[in-house]
Amino acid sequence: MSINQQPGQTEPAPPPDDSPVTATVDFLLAHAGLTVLPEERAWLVRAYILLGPLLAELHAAPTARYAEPAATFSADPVQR
Amino acid sequence: MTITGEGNVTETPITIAEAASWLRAGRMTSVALTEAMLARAHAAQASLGAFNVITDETALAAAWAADAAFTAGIDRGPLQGIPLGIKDLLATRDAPTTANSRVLDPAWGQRDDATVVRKLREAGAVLMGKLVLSEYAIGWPDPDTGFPIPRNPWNPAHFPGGSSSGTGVAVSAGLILGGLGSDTGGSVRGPASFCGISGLKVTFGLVSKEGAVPLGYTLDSVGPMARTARDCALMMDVMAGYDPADPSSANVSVPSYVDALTGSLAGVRVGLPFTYFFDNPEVDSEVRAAVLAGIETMRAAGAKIVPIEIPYLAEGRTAQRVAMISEAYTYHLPDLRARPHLYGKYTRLSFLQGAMYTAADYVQAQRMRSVMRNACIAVMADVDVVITPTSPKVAPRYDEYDPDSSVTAPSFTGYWNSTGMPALSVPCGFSNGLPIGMQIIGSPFTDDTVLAVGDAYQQITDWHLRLPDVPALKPQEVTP
Repeated sequence: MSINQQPGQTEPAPPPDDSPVTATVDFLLAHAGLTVLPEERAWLVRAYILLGPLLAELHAAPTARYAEPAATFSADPVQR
Repeated sequence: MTITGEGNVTETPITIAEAASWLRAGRMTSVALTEAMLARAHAAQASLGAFNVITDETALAAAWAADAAFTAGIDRGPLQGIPLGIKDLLATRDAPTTANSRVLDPAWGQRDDATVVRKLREAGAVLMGKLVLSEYAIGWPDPDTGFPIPRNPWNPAHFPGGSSSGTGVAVSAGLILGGLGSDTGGSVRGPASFCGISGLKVTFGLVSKEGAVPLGYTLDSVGPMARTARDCALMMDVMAGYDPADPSSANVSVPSYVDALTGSLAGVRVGLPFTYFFDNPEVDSEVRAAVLAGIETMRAAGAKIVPIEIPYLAEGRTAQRVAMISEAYTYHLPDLRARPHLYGKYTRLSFLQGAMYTAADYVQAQRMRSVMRNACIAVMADVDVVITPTSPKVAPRYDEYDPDSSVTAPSFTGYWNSTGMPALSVPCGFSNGLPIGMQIIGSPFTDDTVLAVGDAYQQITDWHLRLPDVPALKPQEVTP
């Protein structure tokens, strides 16, 4: 868990209920088979907006394109 | 240094090292020590909420066994007869495991001890119970779930940090001498910082996670929390080592962490990453001043301060979050679909974020972690440790919770989970009566160096010896 619990740095305006972002979040939740409360939906829309530039920055790191992933697979079964 | 109190007249030591000395000198038996700490734990439970279960019977049986072993001349090492606690996401044979959730199948914990718990028992430790955590090691306490709400011993209106909340509370308040936490993005170091104790996030793979409820498979680690870095080293001498039952366990040789404690800072190269960790506007001025004062104390003791720049900090924050939430979301998706109402509201909200990430986001996060790790190891080749604040601020009030912060606020801890590096939080000051934590970070598998620097710092400071005044325990008399 992140231990940072400070007030948010940004305050994006909430999108209208029929905005493309809201539609995208609704689609993602429905695709996953998830049912959420209205206040959870509202926050997820808000989080989706906040996450956008952060994810764009992550994908913009050119050095990572050919990097070995941190999660590795071993074909050896683990004996428990 | 000892704790005494009006409601509990038994004088007890406050560190594992001190208690180990008392037990061997015949100054106190493990049974007497355990009885005193059990009484204290019960007395403080209503006000501090540190435990989910207190295992009086098995704890006293272990204490009797420890005393019998001492009498027979059998000494299994410094943890013999020492009261410890276990974060309630690690399986124990004598108590249920809940992960602080109504969702976890009760049958999950009906098994033998987790590997690291078994190691502690084999070393003669007295396990006093299962400690409260943030549900599934994430989120914020939700009273509606019915679990105890952990309170910061320094001010019960404030959060003690998560997710290893109960371990931080119990060590800080003197209810146990040490305990286990787990850390995926700061869950050992956060409570250690907010509660004024020491806590080590170990190098990824150094301590077995077998028998632990996961949060983020590629980020999780199990680590020690105790009053001092030396106590953490004593625990690590038992906890560390390869476990074939843990797929992410590192098959490396393990040093003696206690033997590495030189007590000296002479010649130690301390990396100071001013960018982000100190110049960030989110960093409280008193936190910044306290950590810089700690670094100055080290310089005066012979350390060499080296300005450095940590690479990929912004991307690293996002990569840790994407990996952790995506892995947790995958684990929890069936329950999020079938019975979401059983999760606490804050936990559910955290996990639901996983639906917002794509497969490409997750893979890119994992690629980014490899880049970060290699770049950071290269930077850290010029220093022995790096020092930052553990958290930008001291413990927040319970009524200050803001879910947006989980997305936007700076994290000084998650980067080191992403890179797999060891990081120790030690107390270095106070702000408004609340502890400030200083984070000491090393390259992978230099946990011994990190602990040695933390111990040397604690040899010349006394922040770690300050005790909270816990009303339920009555006034505490500190006897140096």
